Amino acid sequence: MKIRTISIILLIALALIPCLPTLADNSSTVTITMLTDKYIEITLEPTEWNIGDVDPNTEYMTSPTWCTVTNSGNCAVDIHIEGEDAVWVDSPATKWALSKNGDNGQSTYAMWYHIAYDDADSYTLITTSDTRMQKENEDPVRLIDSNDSKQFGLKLLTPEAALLVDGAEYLYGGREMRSTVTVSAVAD
Amino acid sequence: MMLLNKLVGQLGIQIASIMLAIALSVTPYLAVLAQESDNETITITMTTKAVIEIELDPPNWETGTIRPEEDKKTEKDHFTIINNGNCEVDTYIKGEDAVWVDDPGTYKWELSNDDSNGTQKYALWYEQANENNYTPIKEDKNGFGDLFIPNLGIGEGSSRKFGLKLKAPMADYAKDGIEYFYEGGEMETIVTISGVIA
Repeated sequence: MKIRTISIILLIALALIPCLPTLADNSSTVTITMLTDKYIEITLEPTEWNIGDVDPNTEYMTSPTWCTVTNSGNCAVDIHIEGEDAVWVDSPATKWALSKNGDNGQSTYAMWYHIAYDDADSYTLITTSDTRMQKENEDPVRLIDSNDSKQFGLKLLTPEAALLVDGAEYLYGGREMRSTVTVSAVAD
Repeated sequence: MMLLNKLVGQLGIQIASIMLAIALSVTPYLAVLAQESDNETITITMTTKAVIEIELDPPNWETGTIRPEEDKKTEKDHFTIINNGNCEVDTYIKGEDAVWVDDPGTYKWELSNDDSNGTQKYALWYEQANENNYTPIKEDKNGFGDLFIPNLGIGEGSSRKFGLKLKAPMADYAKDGIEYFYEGGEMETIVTISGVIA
């Protein structure tokens, strides 16, 4: 009987424990979180860079404000960039590999981007790896609101010469080479 | 025993609730995960500078004295065509009328277009070193002529050898049983080989 009485008291005590904080205060809060659909879209302008005739081992560049990337979606996005090998349009198996370290070579070219109003000679290498764009010593480029934009330019270093003709160095001539730079918007 | 069954039952309900809660909390993210990025591309095009340079060696063929209807020919590897440019090229060949050097306006031999010679009409052929047949060379005043050697490569191995053959016109007149052309002296013609980017 004594044991039963003690057990009942213990049960009542345990049942009351969760109620004590409520009894001590007469207000409480409910936090509601909701997620709206994210719409991720960027626009690039322009989307083509026709360099024209190129010589070996020569740099070609756009202006630092040549291309504008604009957030056309409804959420904050980080901007990434990625390059690829250039291919001979007539025979895509013939390629110029995109440099991994900024050095060119025979059949290897290099490419960089420069974000407008960054330090004058601050160019960042574009490789075949997807990389976040950022200015020198600054946080990565983030376009927060719709219509936020950032300008940037490109620089390209052609491969070293493949031929020596009458003492002059040349690439294999008359070949249209094509490459693509992919700019991506990534949301958190 | 009943208490144990009750506890197990409650535990099962709690686990099911937790799983449901996780499932519900993941659901809103699936739509977001389906579109977490957007891509735009810049297309870069560039054309490597072209140097087209064809060299012929030797650039001359002096046949020596030629008589009416006489055939003259070089060795089939007498001429070498060399691609000194930086492009793969298709080559074309054409000929033209032969003229009397002393007064080109007054006397010429028309280049035959059908392999046959005639009076004041001569014929011209080429033969590549690796072939055994002659191909006629024709006139083409406004074009590059006929395809000669296609896809002449670049650098080593970019040269080819060939020979020429010429058949003189029929005689203009005969004197004392000997046939002559009206004009004695030097006749000159030009064979043009052009390279066009392949």
